[in-house]
Parts: sequence; C-alpha cells; structure tokens
Amino acid sequence: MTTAAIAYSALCIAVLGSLGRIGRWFWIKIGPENQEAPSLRAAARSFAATLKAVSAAGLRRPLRSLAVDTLFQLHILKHDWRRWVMHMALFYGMVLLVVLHALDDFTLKPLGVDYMPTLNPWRFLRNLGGIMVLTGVAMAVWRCRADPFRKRTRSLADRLARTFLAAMVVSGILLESVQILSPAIFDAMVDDYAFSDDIQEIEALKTYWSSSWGSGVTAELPTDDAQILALGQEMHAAFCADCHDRPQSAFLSYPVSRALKPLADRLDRLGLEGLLWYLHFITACLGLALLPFSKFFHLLATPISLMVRAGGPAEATAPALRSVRRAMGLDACTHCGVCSQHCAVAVIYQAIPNPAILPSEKIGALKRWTNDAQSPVASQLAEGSFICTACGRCTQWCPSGIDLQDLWQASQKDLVRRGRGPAHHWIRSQNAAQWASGAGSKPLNPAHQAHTLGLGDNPETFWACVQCTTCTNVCPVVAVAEDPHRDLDLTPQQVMNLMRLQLRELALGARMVWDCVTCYQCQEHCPQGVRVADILYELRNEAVRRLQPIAPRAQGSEDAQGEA
Amino acid sequence: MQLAYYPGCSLQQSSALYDVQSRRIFSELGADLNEIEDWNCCGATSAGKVDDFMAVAMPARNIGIAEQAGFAEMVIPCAACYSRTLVAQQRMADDPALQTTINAELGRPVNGTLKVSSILEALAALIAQGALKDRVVHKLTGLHPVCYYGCMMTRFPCTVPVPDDVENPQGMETVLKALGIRATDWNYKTACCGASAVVNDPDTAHNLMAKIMKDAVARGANCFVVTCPMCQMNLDVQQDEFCRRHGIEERLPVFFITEIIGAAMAIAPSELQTDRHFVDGTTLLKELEQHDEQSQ
Repeated sequence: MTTAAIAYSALCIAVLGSLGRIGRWFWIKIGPENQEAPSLRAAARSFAATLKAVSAAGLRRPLRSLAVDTLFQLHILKHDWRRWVMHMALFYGMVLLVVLHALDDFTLKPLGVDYMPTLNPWRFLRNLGGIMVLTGVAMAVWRCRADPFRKRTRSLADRLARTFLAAMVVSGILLESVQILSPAIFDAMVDDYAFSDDIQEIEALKTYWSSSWGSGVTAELPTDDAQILALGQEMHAAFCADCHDRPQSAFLSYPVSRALKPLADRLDRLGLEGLLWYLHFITACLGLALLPFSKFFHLLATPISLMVRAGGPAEATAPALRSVRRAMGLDACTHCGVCSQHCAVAVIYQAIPNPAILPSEKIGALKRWTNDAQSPVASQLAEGSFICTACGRCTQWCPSGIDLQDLWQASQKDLVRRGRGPAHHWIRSQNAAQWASGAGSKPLNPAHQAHTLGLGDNPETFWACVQCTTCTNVCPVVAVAEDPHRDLDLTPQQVMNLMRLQLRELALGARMVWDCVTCYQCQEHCPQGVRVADILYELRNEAVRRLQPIAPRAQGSEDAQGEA
Repeated sequence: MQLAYYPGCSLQQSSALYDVQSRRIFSELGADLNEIEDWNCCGATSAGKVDDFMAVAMPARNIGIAEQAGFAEMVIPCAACYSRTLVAQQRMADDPALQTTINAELGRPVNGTLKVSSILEALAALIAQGALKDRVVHKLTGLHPVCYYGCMMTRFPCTVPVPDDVENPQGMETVLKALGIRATDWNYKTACCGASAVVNDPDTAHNLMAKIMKDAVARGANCFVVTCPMCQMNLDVQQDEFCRRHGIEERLPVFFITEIIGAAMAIAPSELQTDRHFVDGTTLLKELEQHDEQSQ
C-alpha cells in the first residue's frame, strides 16, 4: 500500500511538473515579437496560436519527425554513429525496462501473456535492458572525459542523470542476484508452493536447486548422487518449473550471484534483499519524480520540439509561435555539447574563460537569465552572446533540432532591450567629457588588461605626429558628419593629439573613436606612419574595460538602433 | 588543382550563396576547393577585436590546420577573413617569439609555408593558366560594372604581401577583362561602405554608401561587382533604404565576381543563387544574355 502511494506520488509529481514546464513555454517571452507582460490570458492566447499553427501545419511532417527523429534518431546517426549507439542503448534499454519490467502490471499482465519475472524471455530481456543502459552510461562517461570541451563543461545535471540511471540498473542487478541466491527466499517459496511433507523430497529439491539453479541454500545431501538429483528434478518439474527458467539467462545478475555465493546466509541475515528492493524502488520513483526537473525532461521536450520544428523554419512561423518554439528549444537541450564542438568561436573560450561563449553553456545561461533577469549570469551571457558570429553551425549540428541561431538572435535583442547590449549601445548614453570625468577615477584593472598592442602606452607611437590633419581629411566618417565637432566630439588628429599629451581618458568616450569604421584610410595616408586606426581600435577596447563598470545600466528601454 | 578553402562564418550563413558560387566556379575552372576541417572564426568580429593575442592566434589555428593537411595554398573569399589571416601570418613571420607562443597552444602548429590567397589572386592565377579558354559563352555586352574593393582588400594594419595596387587595385578588372568585359572607371573603388556601422551608426553608413552609389550611377554603371561579403550585403540589403534617404532613383544589382564569371560561362543564375539578392540582378543578366544571343 505504502509502495503504491510512493509510486503514485512520484507519478503525480512527474505529471504536474511536466505540465508546469510545458506551461512555461507559453508563459515566458523570448525575442522581440511580443513584449506584453506574462499573464494567464497571454499564455492562453499563445497556447491557442500554437495549436492553430500546429494543426495548420498538418500531421504528416510532425509524425515523420516522430518516427525518424525519435524512434530511430537518424539525425544523430547522420552526424556521429558512436553517439547514436550510446543514445539508442540508453533510450531503448530504458524503454525495455520501463515497459517490460517497471510497468509489467499494466503492460504484460493485462495482455494475458505467460508473464512471470523469473521466466524467459522476460528475465533475459530485463538483463538486456540493463546492459544496454549501463553500456550507454559508460559510453557517455567516456565520451565526456575524452572530449576536452565536454570535460570542462559537464554539469551537475549531466552527472545526476547518469548516476540515477546507473543506480537504478545496478540496484536492480544486485537485487536479482540476491534473489537468485537467497536461502530464505528458497525456503519461503518451498513453504508456499512445494506441496510435500516428505523431508526427503524437499531435501532433494534443495540439492537440485543448489547444484543446478544457483540458489545459495545449503544442501544436506550429496550433490553428486544421481538418484537424489533425479528426485529433485522431479519435484522441480512438479512445483517450480512453471514459474522458473534457468537463472543463467539473467546474464548480468547470475554471475554477480556466483561471486556472492559464499555470503548467501550472511546476506539473508542482513536483510539485504529487502534493502535492495527499497533502494531499487526508491531510485526508480525518484527518477520518475525528477523527470520534469532534470535532464530527463528532454524525453518529452525534444520530440515535441523536433515535431514542431518539422513544421518549418522559425522565420516562416507565426510570430506568436516563435517565442514558444524558443522556450521549447531551451528545454529540448540535452547539454550534449555537439554545438560547442562545431562552434566557430569556441576556441575563444581558451583565452576568455567565460563558458557562455560556448553555445552548449550559453543556452544554460539563457535559461537562468529567462528565469531571473537579475541573475548575475546576465553579464556572462551578454559577453558570450555578442562574441557569436552567427555562422549557424550550432543549428546545423544540434541533434535535438533546436533552432539555436534563431534563439541567439532573439536573445541578443532581449539583451539590448534590457540594457545589456554591446558597448556601442551604452557608450552613447554620455558624451566624451562626461565619460572622461568618471574614467579618471577608474584606472584600468590589471586583471582586465587583455593582450593589446600597447600602442597607447608607448610614446613612440605618437612621436612622429605633426598634427598635419591628413588623417582627418581622409576620414570618411568625418567627411559625412554635418558638424564633426558636434557629431564626433573629436576628429582623428585631435584624438592623436590627446594621446600625445597622455590625456587619453578624454578620448575614451569620444564618438569619433566609436564611429570609426576601421577603413584604415587614416593609417594608410599618414605621412608620418602613425597607426591611427589601430590606436582608435585600441582605445575602444580600453574604453570597454574601463568604462563598462561605471556605465549606467538599463539605459533607454527601447534602443531603436539595437533593432537594426 | 587542390586548394585549401576557408569559408568563414559569413559564407556559412548570411552569404551562403558566395560559398555555393565559389565552389562551383573554382571547380568549373579546374580547381577543387577543399574546406579545411574544424576551422574556427578568423576573429574579425569576435575575440580578435578585443584581444590582440586572439587576433593572431585564431587565424593561426586555421593556417596550421591547412598546412598540416598538406596544402600549399589556401583561398579565402571573404575579405575580412582574408585580411585577418594574412595579417596574422605576417605578424608571426615578423615576430618568431609570437609564433612560438601560439604554436605551443596549437594542436597543428604553423610553420609558415602556406600561401594565403584572396579569391581574386586565386582566380587570376587560374585564368593566367588558361582556365577560361573556350569557356566564355556569353559576352555580356552592355554590362557596365564598377569594381568595388572596399577597405579590407586594400588597406591592412601592417605591411603585407598583397599582389595588387592598394590605391588603384586591378584584380577584378583583370578577371573581367579575361571575360571580355570592360569595367567602368570610377572614384570609389576603395572607399568604405560603413561596414558594421550599419548596425551601430546607420546614418553614417548610409551616407557613405550613398556617395558610392551616386558615383557609380554618375559613371553610367549598371551594376557593382564585389568580392567582400560585407560590402555586398551592405550595398544590397541597405540599397533601398539609403537611396530613398538620399534621393537616388536608380537601383544597381551588387554581384559577386563569381556570379559574373558564372553568367559569362552560361551557368544559370538560379544555380548560383543569384536570385537571393535583395536588388534584383537576374533580370539584367537575362537581358544581356538574350541580347548576346540575338546579336550572334
């Protein structure tokens, strides 16, 4: 009774939790399409729009996706057969165990098949499921260790998921091996099912089971006496054979039981069978209850996301559905790390240790930021987001079929809107003089001093500048400015002069520095060989490091330029 | 002829058509472009702009991959990737200590033997070997292109071995000449399109592009020819907007050099995805082809 209550509670938690997480897809807003505050009514509307869009797309493509992507996972096979083997072993191993073992009361028994857990093929299939899952977990652990990116980025969630799967299977194997072995269980079964009062017959059965059926029961009679064994076999045929196939078919548990055989009586005294049963049952129930709150949720989210995506590309879907698709994408991620292996800017992670540069980690940061806009992960996410070059390889490779490119573009716009945009957004909130007054009090933190050419620190850089204004005269940005002094604060040759005078704080926030298009006209034309464009470039980088900490956060809620 | 090929991020996504065209045209001209495996961003718009070490190390990694795969030459169609890679190679050559430091981090170290070629350099070499012989089907009489090089093919942060004149480059003109097309002379071939200012300072970018457009129109050009995907995208995608804001009536298609070669070789524009441009270029090419056929 208690066990049923525990199992049903776990099921309730799994169902309610999953519904809650699915509900969130319609609640949260990612991207610029729809900016109304989350409300039940808005969520209902977006749910209705999703249903409409999904039903309009028809069933053919989603069902095809279910078959191809979920049942056979051909999209994984296409990219990496080892990953496919790992994932298929985990997936079908668990399917076998859940359908034929965990839910046997609901699947096999109502079908009226000749079901008994100790009969074949059920016993064999259970062990097969077990070894599939264990192989999958072992491959996952190995792949994680062998890959430098995954090694650095594996998360608690990954380890938790693997540990749970392994614990479920290992406790099950131990339980079965103790059951094969246990003298106490043998005695109880004999009491219940062997209808004989003849001590001789019972002892013969014991001898037969001890010698041929792996039981750890102590035989009083000699095990090499053919007559006794024949009697034991007769008894076995009469009372046991209907429900028992040879335990050797439990190809995982049987060898374990052989190793434990010398301890058979002691294990019974410790009550290990009961302990293991509860351990196995509780891990399975916990696994079920954790489904919506762990990596396992991808079991639901990924196929749904794949089916919805099969309806067409993001830009072709109704605006109301786009945010839902993005939210689904966040949940469909299994943190497999394939995107980061193919990311064109992943190498930068070696120089700038911000995990949010890697798409597989950026999606996690985005998830946290979506839950809590004040989360400290925001600055990490912002830096990682704007390093992305939108090459689209992550989307091309994602085995869960998440439209990552669309997710990044949408979240970049969200970041800009909430004052987390790249430097050229916040630098315009003040003019050069205002920035200069603050910058003087904020010397450059040596920890933030990335590799630079060091041009600004080297007086020789400007030694030769004669203020001839050639740089200013060839500058196309100066040329198109109506009033360079008003629009640009300073001209290039004035910036060079400030550099000569070691007053570069005055130049950090100057629009000229920030509006430079790095066309290198100035540098090419400078008769004195001053590296004007490189200096402007360096100034911008210095400004980001020195001014960002004092930049007013959450300036102008709607930055029109951010949408450009 | 086997050439290493570095597409870079732009050709992967926003200018994917340039990737399709480059592969196709090179194979038509008898050279195979082999995309180097596991390449990374050149750093032009990612870490290279904030970290000077990465600015050299990121292209260095790609150079190392191409060298270790046994290639002698790598073609880079994107002007930004080309510039970053060429500059990185030069800086390592100038500073052996820097090369040693970077090599220590690389699985496939750089030894400095790779020739980094722009698409024009590679095309010019193939054409010089006679790759275009008997391949030109359409003369495209009536095509009056202005060749637009922009900044990154012509001006570099340091002295690098570029085979073209930086003030009056002739690479595109040479290729067009081999096709029998005479480029229209003009003033803005190395002017700046505004690059990423389109995002952070669109007024300036539109101003710059309007100047370029006005000169091209005044010279009687009926299209731009470019090699830089950034210039192409800016002039193409923004054209309606900057022309409207600056009172320019005309619209000029912005072709990659590969599209013009394809059109001359009678490759259907749809196969080169010319129909994906914002400013329609297929109509002009079709008219010229028909004109050619009638005059024959």
